[in-house]
Amino acid sequence: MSMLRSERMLAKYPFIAAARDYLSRRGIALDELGSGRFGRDVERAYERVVEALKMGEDAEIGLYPDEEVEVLSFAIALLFVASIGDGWLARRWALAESLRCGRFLEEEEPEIVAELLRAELGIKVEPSPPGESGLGAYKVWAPHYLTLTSRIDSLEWKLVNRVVRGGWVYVTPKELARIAVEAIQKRILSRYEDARGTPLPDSLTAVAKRIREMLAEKRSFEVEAGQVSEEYWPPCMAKIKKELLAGLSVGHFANFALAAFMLTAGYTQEQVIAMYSQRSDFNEKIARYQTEHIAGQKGSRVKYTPPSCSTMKTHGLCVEEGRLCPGIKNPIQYYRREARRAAQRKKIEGRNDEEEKRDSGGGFLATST
Amino acid sequence: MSGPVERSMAFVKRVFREFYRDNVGVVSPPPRPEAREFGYWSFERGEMVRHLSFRSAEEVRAEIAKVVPLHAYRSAAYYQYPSAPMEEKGWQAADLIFDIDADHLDVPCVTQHVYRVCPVHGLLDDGAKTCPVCGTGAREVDWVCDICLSAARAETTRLVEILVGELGVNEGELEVGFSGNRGYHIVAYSPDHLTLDQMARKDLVGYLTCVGLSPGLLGLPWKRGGRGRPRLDLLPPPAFNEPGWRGRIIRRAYSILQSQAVPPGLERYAGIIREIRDAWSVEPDWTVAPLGFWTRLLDEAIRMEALRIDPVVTTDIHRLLRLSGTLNGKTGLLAKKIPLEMLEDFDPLNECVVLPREERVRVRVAYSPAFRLGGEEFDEISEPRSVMLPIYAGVYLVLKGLARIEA
Ligand code: SF4
Ligand SMILES: [Zn+2]
Ligand SMILES: [Zn+2]
Repeated sequence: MSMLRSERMLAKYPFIAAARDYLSRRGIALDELGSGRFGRDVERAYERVVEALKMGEDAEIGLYPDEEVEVLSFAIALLFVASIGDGWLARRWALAESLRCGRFLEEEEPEIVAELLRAELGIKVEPSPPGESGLGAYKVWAPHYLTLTSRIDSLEWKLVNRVVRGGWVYVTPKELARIAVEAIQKRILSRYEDARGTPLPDSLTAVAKRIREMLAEKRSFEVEAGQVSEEYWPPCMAKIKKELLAGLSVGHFANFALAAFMLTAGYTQEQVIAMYSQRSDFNEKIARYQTEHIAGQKGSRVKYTPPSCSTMKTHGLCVEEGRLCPGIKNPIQYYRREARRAAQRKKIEGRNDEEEKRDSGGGFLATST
Repeated sequence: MSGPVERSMAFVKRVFREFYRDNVGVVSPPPRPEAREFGYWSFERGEMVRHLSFRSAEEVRAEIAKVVPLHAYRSAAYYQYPSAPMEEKGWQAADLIFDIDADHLDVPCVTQHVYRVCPVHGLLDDGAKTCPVCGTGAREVDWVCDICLSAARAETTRLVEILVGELGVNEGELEVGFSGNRGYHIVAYSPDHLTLDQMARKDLVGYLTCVGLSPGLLGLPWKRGGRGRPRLDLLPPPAFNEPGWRGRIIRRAYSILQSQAVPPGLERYAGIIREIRDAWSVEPDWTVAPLGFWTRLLDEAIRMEALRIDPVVTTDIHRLLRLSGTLNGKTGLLAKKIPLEMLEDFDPLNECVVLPREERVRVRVAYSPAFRLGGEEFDEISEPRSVMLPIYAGVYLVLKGLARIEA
């Protein structure tokens, strides 16, 4: 524990317990923060949040030379985010802060990373016994490994592709640092949950207001995403959408599948981008580029069709092993079938109704290819 | 007026009621019953009653004895408000649960266990939709036998070994039970696993079922472009006695090669197989065969070793599962907890028979295959007829849809 105590450590990893009581230990009262004495700290806090808000995954929060400012500004940034109470902002900020820590962790001795996980984040980690170090220099307790890595969307993180023995998962020091980033992100988010809704001292509300305005601009997509109708959607796609809207991070493959599905079904690129915008690592430029790519406008001109049900199954994205979709081979087929049935129903119901007829002839059916 | 079906079900309910009246202590609610949701199917109403909650195990038992349900369930989850609607329950944690069902296993007899019957005229042809005599819709009946039940039990043992040996579950935190029909339920109460979310459980299921397994990442031969000699890196080569998938896959691959017949799909490698069979002692020499051979061999080994659990059950953190110590309304057998050390020799078709064995009841059997239950052998009944059976066996056939209680 002691090696984590230095001022420099607190500055790099301001989420740790010792830094937590910084305000109280120094006897700083909340409403003093707006006074000129803390001008630099507040400004740095603002910078942390805004950088995260603007850049997401690519945020460069860096390390401020004055360690005291660095620790205090983290606490103030948390206050800002908690008082604003927007889940998306919180996730995006936690992501940026945890990636910032990750950059420092890469430079640390592996034992420091392990110590941080053990002492600060409650994760069981041990060095591998000498005879097993070929499998990975460290081992992480299996349930903790599962909790921290299940959202990393890549084959080599799947438990089935790891060496697992006696309840432990073997990892390299580099992987350990990555796991720490996940754990830090979780920790920051739980600190956010605890502090959520804490009122700001009056002196800071002006700054918070500026953040809020920036957030509103960034989040103009949100309304649109909520409006995308999921009528006729197969259960797998509806589920991905639901998770996105709930702010859960879904894997890259799931994102791709949803985008390809929506585009093939005839939704607009804007609607698809609106869905992507739910990710805490949303970057509009990249999202736009990727969407255009999937839609077949950029690069290879290959138009992607949505993954088949069996591919969806392999990635664990199929719902109830397809029990809800008898005879369906591809999610898009489900959509088209349901849409066609609805159109037929409409036709029957509104046989004499001119408008109805026009409806069933156009719309979704016209978009299928 | 009540028909033969109602009469039969009324009889079964009476038998269930007497059982619960005399044995309600057998009903065993899970730990922290006050944080659980309970639910049941009643005999009369064809719907599930859900979102029930009770303050103690005693209250649960009293309710079961009073209601006499056809099926009784409890949540895997622990909730803050177990009786609230789903969105407001306040999920806290959930037991890690597994379902192993005889008909998800690769046992050949499973396909022969589906019968179509007319409740009056007996066995119908395969695929018949209605009875040719009276036009009644055919009823599909699932049967089980010793072979498929033993396969389910063996799979359960394998799962327990992996949970304990690899995934950090303590033996003392495991509960294994027969479902009362065609399979086994395994529940892990280990604190570190209770809080796993849906994604983490999905990854854990992938581990057990080998979904997403990529041999190269485990130090087995792998492909880039899929041609030429295999490449091995990342990890030391797997050893025969290794725990985990590396060991299981390599042992299975070895035993496939040792079996006399050339495995299907590998015919054109017959020569290589003979060579490897003799040369492979400690560690296989990967370089003696092309990658295509290894890929196929390992795929087959993985397919054979992968556990057959129901992935949906384990990933669903709001799942209801059968309450231990209650009667299964599809058979009248007890959903019974099994101490781990008894699992290997457990005989559900005897030990889960808890309804009266001495008393008899007259039933009209439409059709019944020969079967063994409660230590007795019953002959096939190929044509509809009326017979006297011990109550447990009569109830079994009635609930399977093969017999009716006679007036
Ligand atoms: S069967 Fe196909 S369409 Fe249905 S949920 Fe699974 S992947 Fe989606
Ligand atoms: Zn008939
Ligand atoms: Zn069988």
